[in-house]
Amino acid sequence: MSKYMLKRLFSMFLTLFVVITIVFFLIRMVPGDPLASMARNLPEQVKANFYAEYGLDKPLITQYFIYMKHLLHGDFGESLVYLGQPIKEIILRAIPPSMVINIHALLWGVTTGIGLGILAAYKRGKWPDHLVMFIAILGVSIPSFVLATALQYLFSVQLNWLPTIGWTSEPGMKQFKYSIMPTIALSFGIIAVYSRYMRASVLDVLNQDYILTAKAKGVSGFSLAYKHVLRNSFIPAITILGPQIAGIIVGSFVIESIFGIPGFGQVYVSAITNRDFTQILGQTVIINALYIFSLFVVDIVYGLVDPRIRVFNK
Amino acid sequence: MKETLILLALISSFYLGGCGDNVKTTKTTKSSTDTRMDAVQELHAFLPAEPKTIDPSKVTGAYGNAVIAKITESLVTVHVGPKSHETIVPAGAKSWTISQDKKVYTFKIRDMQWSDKKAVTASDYAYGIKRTLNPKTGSLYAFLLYPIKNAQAFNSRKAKRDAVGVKVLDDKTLQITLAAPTPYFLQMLTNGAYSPQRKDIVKKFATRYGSRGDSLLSCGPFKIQKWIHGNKIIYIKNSGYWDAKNVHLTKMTFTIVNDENARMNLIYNGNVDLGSVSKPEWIKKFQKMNVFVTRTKYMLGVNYINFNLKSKYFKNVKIRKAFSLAQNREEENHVMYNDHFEPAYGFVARGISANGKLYENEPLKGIKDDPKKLLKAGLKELGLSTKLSKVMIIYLASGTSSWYRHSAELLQQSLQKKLGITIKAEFVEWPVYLDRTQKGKYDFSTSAWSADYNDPNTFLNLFTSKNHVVNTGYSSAKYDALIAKANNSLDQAKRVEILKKAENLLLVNDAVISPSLYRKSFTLIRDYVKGFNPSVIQAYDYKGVYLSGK
Amino acid sequence: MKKILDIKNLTIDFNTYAGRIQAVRNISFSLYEGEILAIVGESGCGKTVTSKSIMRLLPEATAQVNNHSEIIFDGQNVLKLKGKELKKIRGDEIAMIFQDPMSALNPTMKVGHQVAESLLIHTKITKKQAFKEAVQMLKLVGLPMAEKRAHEYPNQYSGGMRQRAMIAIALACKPKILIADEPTTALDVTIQAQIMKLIKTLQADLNTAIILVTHDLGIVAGMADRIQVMYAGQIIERGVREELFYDPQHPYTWALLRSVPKVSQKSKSQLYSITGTPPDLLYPPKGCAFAERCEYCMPICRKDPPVETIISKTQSVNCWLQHKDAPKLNKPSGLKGVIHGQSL
Repeated sequence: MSKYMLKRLFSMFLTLFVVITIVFFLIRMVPGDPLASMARNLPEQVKANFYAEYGLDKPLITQYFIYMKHLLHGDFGESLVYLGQPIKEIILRAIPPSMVINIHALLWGVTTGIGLGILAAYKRGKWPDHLVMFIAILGVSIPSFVLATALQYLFSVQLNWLPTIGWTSEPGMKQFKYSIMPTIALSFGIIAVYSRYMRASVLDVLNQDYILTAKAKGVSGFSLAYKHVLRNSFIPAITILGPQIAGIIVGSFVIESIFGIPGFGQVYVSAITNRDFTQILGQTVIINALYIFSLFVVDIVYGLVDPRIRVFNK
Repeated sequence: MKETLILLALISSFYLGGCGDNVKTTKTTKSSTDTRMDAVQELHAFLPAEPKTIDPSKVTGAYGNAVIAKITESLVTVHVGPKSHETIVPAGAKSWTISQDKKVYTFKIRDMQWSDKKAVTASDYAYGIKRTLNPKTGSLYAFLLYPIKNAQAFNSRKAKRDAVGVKVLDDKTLQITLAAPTPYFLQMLTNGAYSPQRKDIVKKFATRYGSRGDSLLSCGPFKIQKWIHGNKIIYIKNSGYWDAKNVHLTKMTFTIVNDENARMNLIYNGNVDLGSVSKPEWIKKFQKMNVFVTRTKYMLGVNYINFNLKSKYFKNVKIRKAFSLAQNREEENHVMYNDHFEPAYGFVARGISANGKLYENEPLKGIKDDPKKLLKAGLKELGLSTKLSKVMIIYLASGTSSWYRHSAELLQQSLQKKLGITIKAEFVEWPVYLDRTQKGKYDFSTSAWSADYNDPNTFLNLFTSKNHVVNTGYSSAKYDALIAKANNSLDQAKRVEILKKAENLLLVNDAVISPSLYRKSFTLIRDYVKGFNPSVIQAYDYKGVYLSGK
Repeated sequence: MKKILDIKNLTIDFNTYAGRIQAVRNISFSLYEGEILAIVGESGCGKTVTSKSIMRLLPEATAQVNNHSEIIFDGQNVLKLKGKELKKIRGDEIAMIFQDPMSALNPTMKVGHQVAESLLIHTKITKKQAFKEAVQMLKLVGLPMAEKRAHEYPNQYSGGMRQRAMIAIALACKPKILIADEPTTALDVTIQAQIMKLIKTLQADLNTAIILVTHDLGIVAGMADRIQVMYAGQIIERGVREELFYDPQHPYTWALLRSVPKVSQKSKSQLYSITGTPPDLLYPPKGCAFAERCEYCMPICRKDPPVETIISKTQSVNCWLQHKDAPKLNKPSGLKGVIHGQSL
């Protein structure tokens, strides 16, 4: 187990290192620099001063080594656009709002989606199945930003029940109110995905021989559904859960932008348009670390549910 | 270009108001004569994006300047009088004298204090200016201070800090010496880059200075209570401000909202008390609600076509002029902006003043030459075939969205129709566009420019040989001489005449660029918001604003 | 001997997009206490459908059992049972093992629990006792290190071990009837013999009646007391083992027997195979279903279905060749000796 873990850990760091290196040079190959975030060109002299002040005048390879050295010390550097703001702080600030929204959306989306999927599978071909599949098709085909705007129009503009946009960092009723619409907008797609996945998965399991075995044993009803059908049906759902765990922190740019939530996704995309090199790199590191880690976690969870792929047994 | 457009649109929300006849206030509301103030004086508004920094030396855009204007007291400020007439009045300086040669300004600093109760001194102003100019600060707007003697040299590491023409004569006296008489210098002092700064605070926060709400002090009408990054900025009244009795709002909340639809919903719902609107359909919708006052003003910005004078066809002036004359400005305004802008026949944006009056010059108006003939003559001069159908020129668009495609299509159509040649369009992202135009890898493209300060020079100076901000490849000793002569002129009326001559040279004789539209902005203000009266270019401090009947 | 299962007029159709497939066509047979009855036939002949129908394991949405059909067990018609009564029979009175032990075990449940599960359902014992008994059962089916293995998951078992576990599950409640649907088809040949031997031993110990469904006459030869041959959803010949092997009457039975490899056979000689394919059960033929493939086909065979001819008290056949007007044939050679080729 420890050997496997070490190997795994090593490959995780290697992946991360490669990704950082590639991204570092890639973003420099794209035209533009942090000054492209300005709506206009500036006199050469002030540009030169700016480059010198932020170390952008040095050869790229030197900049790379400086960056990697700082990174090894856990220092992500400072933003080149939001001057004076440490990347670490920007990221730490952006994570909680994304997490609140995404955890809400994921919990709501996954439980509802799985529930609906099971319902649809058991009522296959009957109206609950048709209804669930209709919802799933809507969820997949309606872009979340359309839904978000529609929600805003209905609940804020027309009914005036919920605030159109905004966020408060203090947990409580106000934050909850702010989170309702983004949660619905985000979870709709998740519900769609999970209900379809779960339906297919349950139907697949229901056709398995071991379900016949169980029935032949006299197992029926709840016991059959719980012990034999559902546990096995969860396995495919867990595979798609992995990237979504990382997504909890990474957030959704579109939704965050529409509802004015200062989350990770919104910050990342603006860093890219602004060519904020340190910011892009910092968030790339975080995103990749999260994805790599979440895949690792999924492997473990996967094993807990499915003994066939339990990696730590021997 | 997209960013330019957005930025220009945004600038308007801070540079509200106007000059002379340029402000048109449409009242579409129930009349309210009640001028009593409400018990609650809390204003809600939005910022379309987070300020990148509020360090006065590093601030670059409208958002940062908007914050600085509220929390610092510039040496002078713009007073907007009846009929929107603007005058420079004392602010941080209670009085000043200007030397005979118009080069030495001596300011008497007002008795006032920072929010930590320490007195604001002449040294704070001097330190602020020199810090902006220090190359180690990396200030991007340091060039706004270049009129000061040796300022450019210090900023380019060619002169020492002490050589800069800024002297502290005593605690309350500041002397600024200019390199040349600069008639718009007082006007420039309203920019955040000239703000007073406290050396001890700058040292204390080091790189974090100006990156947080609590990392700098206030000496203006408001102070920052909280800056929640990416979310909102909350101001409260600065009770220690020297003119606190004229500050009526006790609290202002500026929510940061990037999404335009979301911003419009905020205005619609009344979650904000005012906001700028750019889409005609929204303006119409709001005006129908009968609860808004609409303020229309020139944004001191202009859209224009720039030619690459080093390219195959545009090295010929007649061809450039043919394009300039072929451009259908009215159609563009109608199709792309629903007639909300104004066709531009001059480069200096409408709304700009000089010598205390509106600068008005539209050299391209009334020229009736036939563009096709000009084009053929130009082709002949270049020794090229005059068969127009064989001519193909590429237009470089500064964005890739549908808006750019639409606008490029329109430009293609109208030019092709009038000139009988083929125009192809190439669409690139903004940073790529910047790169290509800087390196002169283009035929022609469209740009926009907005004023840094309220003087024709902010436009005309762009095309002097030393200025490389817009790369057209234009270099004219005659033009340079005219601009220099104007700026050294002590006679203001004569100066304006010389500037007009330069503009005529730029647009007619040399046809370096072809202006398209003067930009305008629209702000919708709830009718209970009173005393809202910003100047045409200075970031607004909200000093006189109050609520009545909310 | 006592009849414990009596199947009368069993007719099963499947509703598919293509139409109605007549999978089982009006068959009747009985099972006696403690005997091994083999149902033999090619795949698609309806033998598995028949066996599943006994436990009501056919998909209700598509499989349609004719109303006149009866499956009488213990005096009651299984086809009419509901909920609890059905549950009582499944696993407790009648048990089943499936063809593929790889997929017939729940991959996410410990094997011990899978064995214990039916005990928990059908007897009043605690979980602990049930697990203990499950371990005993696993020992009984010859699973090595049963105590440890009971805590493992099916993926940790070999194919043979899994089928032993399946047998343990099936026999946990000592059912009166065990339906074994191709129990060894998915296993290695060496394992096959072991498993068959195990089934036979346990059958003797527990006095369980077995319905052995298989396409492999070789297996049947060593095990079955009685044999029924199915073709195209019908039983075409039945008899005790010796009758079927030494004196088969139906040309299809002959063909089946000829296609069994014999020990005496020279390795290079080609194995006999039946030409053609079974009829499409969407549209079963009017006459004898085997007619199209039959070497001895007569005009009547295509016209009318053959009637059952009683050969002996135990043997009967559905074939026109039994008709008094039919030509007398010499049975093809190579039939005898099959039974000796297998170890009894």
